Amino acid sequence: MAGPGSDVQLTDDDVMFLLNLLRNAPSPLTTAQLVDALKQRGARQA
Amino acid sequence: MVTNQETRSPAFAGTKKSQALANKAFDVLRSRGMFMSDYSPIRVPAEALTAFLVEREGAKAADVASAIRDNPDVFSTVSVDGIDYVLTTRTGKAPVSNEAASTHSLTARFLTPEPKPVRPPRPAPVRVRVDPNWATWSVPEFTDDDEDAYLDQPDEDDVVVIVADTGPAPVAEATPVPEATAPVVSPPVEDVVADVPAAEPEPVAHEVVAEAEPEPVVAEVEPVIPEPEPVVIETVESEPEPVAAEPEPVAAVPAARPMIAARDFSGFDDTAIAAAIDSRLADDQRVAQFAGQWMAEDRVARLGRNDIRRIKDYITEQEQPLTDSALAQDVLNVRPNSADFALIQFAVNFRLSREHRDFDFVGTNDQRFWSTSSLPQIGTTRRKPNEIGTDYRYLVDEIPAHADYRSVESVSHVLSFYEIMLGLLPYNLDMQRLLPKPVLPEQRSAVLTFEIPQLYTTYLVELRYPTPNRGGFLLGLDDFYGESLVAGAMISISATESDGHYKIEFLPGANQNARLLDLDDRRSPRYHFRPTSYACEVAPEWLISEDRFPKLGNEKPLDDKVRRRPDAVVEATFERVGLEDGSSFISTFDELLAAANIERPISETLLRATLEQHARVSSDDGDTFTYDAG
Repeated sequence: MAGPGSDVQLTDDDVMFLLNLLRNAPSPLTTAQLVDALKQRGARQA
Repeated sequence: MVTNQETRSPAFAGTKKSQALANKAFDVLRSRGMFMSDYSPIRVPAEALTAFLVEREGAKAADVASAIRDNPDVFSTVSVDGIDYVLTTRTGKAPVSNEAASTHSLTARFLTPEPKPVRPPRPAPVRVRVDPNWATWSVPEFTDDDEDAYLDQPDEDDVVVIVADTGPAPVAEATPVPEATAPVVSPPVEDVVADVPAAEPEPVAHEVVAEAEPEPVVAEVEPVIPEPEPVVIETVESEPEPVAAEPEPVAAVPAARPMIAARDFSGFDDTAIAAAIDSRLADDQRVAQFAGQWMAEDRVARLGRNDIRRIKDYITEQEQPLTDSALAQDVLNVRPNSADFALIQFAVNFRLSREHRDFDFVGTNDQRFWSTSSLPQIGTTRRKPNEIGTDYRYLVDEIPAHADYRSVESVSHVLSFYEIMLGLLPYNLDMQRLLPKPVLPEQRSAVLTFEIPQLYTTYLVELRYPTPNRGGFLLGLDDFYGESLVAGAMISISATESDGHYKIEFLPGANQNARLLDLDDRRSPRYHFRPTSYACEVAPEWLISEDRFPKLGNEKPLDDKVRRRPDAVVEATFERVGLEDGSSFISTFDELLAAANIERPISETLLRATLEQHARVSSDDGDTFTYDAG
């Protein structure tokens, strides 16, 4: 696993995915929830 | 004197004979009721009365009946169970029934209620329409083109890559045909047949799959066909890079919005991903962020100027910072069990965070307090917060830059005279490990609630975070200290589940009386010893009593210029509490520590460093120090 110092950059598609997620969420989401969503999205694709 | 009651006979009507008979009849009746009250009805059967008068007076029955009938003012008749009675009263007036004139009575009403009136059907009430200008908040409709475009895209499972072959190579060599006709199962993708004229030697027609984008695929492909060369459109599944491993003549022309497969973030640390989200979304105008929470900006309820003003007025009226929850309920009238409550809380926080001039965020993650500039400061007014922060400047050096916030459950502390007088606690390393870090980067203070279970009281305490040149401290405990504690009291501060709520407990003890130091700052500030009763356990080395430091009585507080310099405070403390030996003063470390903390906060580390660096202070054992004042 890459460490905390690893440089992670979000692509435009990642941003659009997060934006779509936020717009459909019934309540505000925490940063941890966004991280989980990104991870689950990647895992689903794999 | 005895006076006989005079009885008056009533005036009778009729003939004289009739009057005489009526008078006799009246006498009979009155004699029968001689012990009755004046207005009680005297009742005698008409038959008996007539028989009596016939027998005694020799009157005729008809005359008796006529006499009674002719005087209705004197006599009345009533028939009960078939028997006629003649009635009168001692006053000579026909009795009047005591029954109420009305047939209605409360009892009757209860026993015989009237039938429920039949009301005509009411017309539907006209609802008052609230002017949209006064609406509290509104959620705008979503008309974001980016979102629509994103939703129109196919699933990430399918990636369409269009490869145009402009070279002379035959199609069969460029790309294998089976790949080009691979099926796509994504719902948004529909089949489009692109019949492309094939080049020699034999024509090749491909059924290709392309996205249903506004621009047809063929239109995009056309510009890259200078000759009747074959165009190959192939589909590739889940490949981040388009397959362009073809010879030079092949040029990759992407579709209008090709979907790239989602990245796999499982190999990255959560902190790194969170940092990436922060850096990418923090400045994105489409996203609203507050205290680690995110939302689409266009879904955040908007607060009008009127709402902002009402929130400000309400905080000012309550004279204390209020949480987002209280503001949402009391000002915006949103119930906590409402489905929108979390949204409104977030809206309050996000919108107020944009009002820098009027509102200050002074909360924690679990208790999001908001304050205004017009609120009075929490805690003592004896000294300005900036001056207190300057007094605690030494803490900036004693606390590491990155301490672990909320890493301990409880902290024990012994109160100094300085802390007792100002009702504060130092934000030292222990407290930093107990308390939460600032929620916002520029946050200067946080309002916490400190509960004292032993007193069933909760205080609002303001935590002033340290700045580069001022130390941190907590204000607002002066009432608690003044009522229950003295210098030297041992307290314990415990964390709770909420990072904004803490509990303070002190060690209760037997009632004790002592003459303890106090500051009389009414006109000319001066220390004096005052008889004090307290019921808490104290650390004796921190107790400032007359027995220990008799010379402190009637001392004036040091000038501010002197107070700022720890070495000057140490010198003054030697002279106040030290054992005088010629021009020298001798004192122990504990005495110096307790007495120096009367004027200003000094930690053990700072005091020891000051003593070691002072040119005229010496010590043999590290515990007893001598100050040469000469």
